[in-house]
Amino acid sequence: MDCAPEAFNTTIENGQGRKQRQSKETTGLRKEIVFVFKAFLGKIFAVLVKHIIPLMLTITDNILLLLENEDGIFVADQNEYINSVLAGAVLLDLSLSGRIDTDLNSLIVLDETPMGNVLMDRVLSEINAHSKSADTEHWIETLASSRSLPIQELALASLAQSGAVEQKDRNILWLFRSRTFQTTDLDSKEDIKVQIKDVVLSDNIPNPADAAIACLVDACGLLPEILSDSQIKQCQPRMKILRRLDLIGREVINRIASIERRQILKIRAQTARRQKANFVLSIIGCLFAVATLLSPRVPIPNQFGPTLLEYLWNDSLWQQWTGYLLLGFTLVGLLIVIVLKNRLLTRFGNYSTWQLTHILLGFVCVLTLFLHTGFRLGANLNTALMLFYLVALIAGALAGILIGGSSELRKWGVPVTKKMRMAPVKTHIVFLLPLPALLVVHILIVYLY
Amino acid sequence: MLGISKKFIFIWSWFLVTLIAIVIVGVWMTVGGNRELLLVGQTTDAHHQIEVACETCHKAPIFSRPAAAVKAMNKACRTCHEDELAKSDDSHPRKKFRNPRMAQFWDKLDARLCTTCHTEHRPEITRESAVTVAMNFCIACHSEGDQDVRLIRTSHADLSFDTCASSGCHNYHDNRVLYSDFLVKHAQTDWLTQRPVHELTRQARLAYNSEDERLMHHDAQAPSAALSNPAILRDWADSAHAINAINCTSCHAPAIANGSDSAGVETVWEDKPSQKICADCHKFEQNTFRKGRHGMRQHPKIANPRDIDGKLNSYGLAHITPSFIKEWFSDPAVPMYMTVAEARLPMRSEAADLSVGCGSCHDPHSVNVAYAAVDACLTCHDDMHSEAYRKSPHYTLWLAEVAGEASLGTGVSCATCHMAKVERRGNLVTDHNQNDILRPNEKMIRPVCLDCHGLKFALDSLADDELIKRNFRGRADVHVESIEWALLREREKQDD
Repeated sequence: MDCAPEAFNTTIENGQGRKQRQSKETTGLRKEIVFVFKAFLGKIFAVLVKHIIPLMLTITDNILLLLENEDGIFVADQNEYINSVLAGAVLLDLSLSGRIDTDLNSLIVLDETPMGNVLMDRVLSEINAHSKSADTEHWIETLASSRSLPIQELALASLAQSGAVEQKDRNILWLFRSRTFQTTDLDSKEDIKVQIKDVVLSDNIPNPADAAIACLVDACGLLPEILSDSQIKQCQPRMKILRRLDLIGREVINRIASIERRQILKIRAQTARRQKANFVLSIIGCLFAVATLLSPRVPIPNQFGPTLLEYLWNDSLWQQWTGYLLLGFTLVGLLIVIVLKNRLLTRFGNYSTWQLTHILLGFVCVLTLFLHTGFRLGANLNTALMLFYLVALIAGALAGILIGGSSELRKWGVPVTKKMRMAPVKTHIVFLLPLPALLVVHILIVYLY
Repeated sequence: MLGISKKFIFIWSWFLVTLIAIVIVGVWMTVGGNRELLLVGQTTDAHHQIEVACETCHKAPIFSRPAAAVKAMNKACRTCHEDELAKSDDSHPRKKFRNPRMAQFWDKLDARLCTTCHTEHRPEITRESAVTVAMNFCIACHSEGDQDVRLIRTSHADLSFDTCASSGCHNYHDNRVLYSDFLVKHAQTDWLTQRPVHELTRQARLAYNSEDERLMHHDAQAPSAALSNPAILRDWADSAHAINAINCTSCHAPAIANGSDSAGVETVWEDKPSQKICADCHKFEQNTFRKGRHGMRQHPKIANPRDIDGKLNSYGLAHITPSFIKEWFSDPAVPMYMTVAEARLPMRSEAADLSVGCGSCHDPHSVNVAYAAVDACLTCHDDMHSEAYRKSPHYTLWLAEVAGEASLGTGVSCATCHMAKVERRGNLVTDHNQNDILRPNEKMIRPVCLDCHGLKFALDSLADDELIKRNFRGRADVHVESIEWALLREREKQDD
C-alpha cells in the first residue's frame, strides 16, 4: 500500500479542483446548513454556503457524476460493466482511506473502523466477514454481481447523502417506478472533467486518487466525453504511466480491464447483432408499410364459402381480434419507449434489447395491420387513421434504418448525423399524436353503428 | 414560467385536444351533427341519396346490443322494400327461413336477414343489385341433399353455381317470368307478336284524347297578369289538364277551385305551387316516384334529423347554448330533391345543376307526356343505352306514333319500358318507380316486353349486355337455354 490515507478524499473547492481532506461530519453539516439556507435565506445564501463549505467527493462519486446524461443518473441493475467499475472504485476508495490493502493474491482488511459512508461500510463489513482469503478480481466480481449489495443503488444513495445529487422518484403510468439522480451543482461535473483533463494531458506527477479516477474513466469508456479524439490519442502514453502508478489502482484497473475486454467484446458483438437486426427489420417493415400505402388491396375471394381471406376481412370477430392485437402491439411498443426513455426494467434487458424489441413490435404492427386491412385504406376518418398510422410506421422504420444501419451506411459513404436520425424520430412521434382520438372514434363507429 | 415545463404543457395540450376531439365526435354520434365523416365506406347506389339520415337504417338506439341493432336494421330494410318483395312473389321469403326446419341452413346463409347478402358501406364486395356475397351463394343450400339442383334437374348437372343468377336463369327474389310453367307456356311464341302494341299505353293515350270536358282559353281562371302570358295560356289550353277540365286555379289557387275560399283569385294565387299540389291528384304517381331513385329523398320512411333542441331542453341547456353550437351539432336534413350531379350513373355535365321533381320532366303548363317520355330523360342521362336510343328501332316506332303515322301504343319511348303504365282501381296510371321493372331486368318482360315480343326473344335480348348498350339495335348474340331446359323437364315429367 503506497498511498497515504490523507490522499483519500478528492474534494473540489470553489470550483478549482483543489483537493482537501475533510471529516465525514462536514458532509452532514454542510447538507443541513444548505437546507436551512435554502429554506430560510434563499438561494443566494445557499450558493454562498456551497462555496464556503467544500463538496467532498469520493472516487466512486466522481465516476457516478460522470455517468450522468441529460435525464440524470439512472440505476441500471443488469449493467455488470458499470457495476464492475463501481466495485473497483469502491475498493480504491477503501484502499486510499487505509481500510484495505491488496497484493497479487489477496485483499485484506487493515482497519475495520466505519467511514460513515453507507456503501463503503457495507463493502468493508462484507470483506471483513469473508472467512477465506480472496483476491481483488474475486471481490470486484462479487461486489458487481451481488444482489444483497446493490452497488449502484448504494453508491447513488451515498452520493445523494453527500448532497451532490438529488434523488427524484417518479411514477410512470401508475405502472413503473423510475428513480433518477440529478446533480444539484452543475459545476461539480465540469470540475471533475477539468481535473481529469489536467491529470491526463499534463506532465505533472498526479496523486494516486487523481490517477485512479483517470484510469477508471478510461476503463468506463468515458474519456471521449471529456477529451477530443486527438487529445485521446495524445494522452495514451500518459495513461500507460498512470496505470502503473498505484498498485491497488493498477490491480483494480487491470481486473476491470480484463472484465471490460470480455464484456466489451460481448456487448459489442451483441450490439452489432442487434443493430443489424434493427437495420434489417426496419428495412422490411418500411417496405411493407410503403406497400400497405401504395399497393392495391388484396381482394376478398369471389367464391361463396369460408376462406381465410374471407374470415380476415369480412368477419367481424376476426376483424376485432386483429384490430385489438394491433392495438395491443402498438400500446406495448409505446410502453417500451417509456421503458427506454426512463431506463426501466433493466433487469430484463439493456437499452439495445428494448430498442430492438420496439423495432420488432413496429414490424409486427405492420404485419398485423395487413391482417386487419389487407392493404385497404378505408374511408373518411378510417383513412385518416390509416394514413397517420402508416406514416408513423414508415418514419419509425426509417429511424430504425438510420440508427441500426449507421455503420453500414457509413461504409456506403452516407454519414448519419444526429440531425438525420432525429428527423424520422420526430415525424414518428408527431404522426402518432392524433392516433388515440382517431382510434377511439374508429372503435366507437364499429360498435355504435 | 410558474415552474411548468414545456414538456408538461405539450403533453397536457395534446391530451386536452384528443379529449375534445373524442367528445365532439361522440356528440355527433349520440346527440346530433353531420356524420358523413364517420361513414366507413361508400353507401350503395340510391341509398347514397339518404346517407345523412343514418337513423333510416340504423334504427336501434345507439347503445343497443348487436343482435338488437341487426334486427332493427333488417326491419328498416323491410320497411321500404317489403311491398316490392310481396309484389314480386318472392321466391325466398323471410318467413320460409324462419321455420325451425330451415335451421340447418342458418349457419351457411342466414336468409332470415336481408343484411346477410346486402351489407351497406362495403363498396368492394357490392355487386349488382347491392349483393355483397359471392354470386355463387346458391351453393349454400342447393348443393346437397334433396335440394341439390344438379341431381333434381338433369339439365343442371354440369353447371357451376356462379351461373345460377345469370340473366334469364334465376333471381333470388323475383322469378315471375322465370318459373318453368311460364317458360313452357310462352315457349313457342315468335320474336314479334301479331299485334305489337303496348295495350295499356294505347288506352292511356286514348284517354288523353277525350274531348268531352275540354276547357278552352277563355275558360282560364287566373289573375290578369297571368292571363297576359299567351304562351303559358296556349300550353295549358293544349294540355291534358285542359282536356280533363283542370283549370289554372286547381294548381295556383286550390282554395278557389274547391270553393273553400271566396276571395279574389289574386289574393290566394301562388305563382309556383309546390309538388304537393301535383300529389293532390296524382297520388299514385307521387307514391311511386318516392319509391324510385328519382324521388326517394321524399320517401316517408326516411328518418327525420335528430332533435337537438329537444335534447338540450331536456337538460335545461337550450337557452344557454349558442346558436352556432346548435348548428354544429344539428343533423343535416335530407334535401327534398336529388340533383343530377349527385347521380352515380353517367349524366350530362350541362344538366348537373338540375334537380329531380315533378316539374323537371313535366312542364307544368303543357304537361307534355311525349316530352316527359323521351326528351326529359335524355336531358340528363348520358349512358350508352340512352345515347343509343335515338338510333334504335324503338325510337323509330316512337317517332311514327308521335307523328300520327302509326297506331297509338306502337311507339316505344324510355317511359314505355322504364315507367310502365299500370291499371289501378280502374284508372291507367304511370308507375314512376322505374326500379319496379328494371333490376333485375327480367322484371320488365311481363309488363312490357311481352306486349310486342316473344319470351325467348326477350330473354335473349335482356341477357345480352352489348345489345342493351346498343339499345336493342340488332339481334342478341346470347342465347338463354331456360326455355329449352323447361321443355326438356316437361318431357321428362311426361315420360315418367
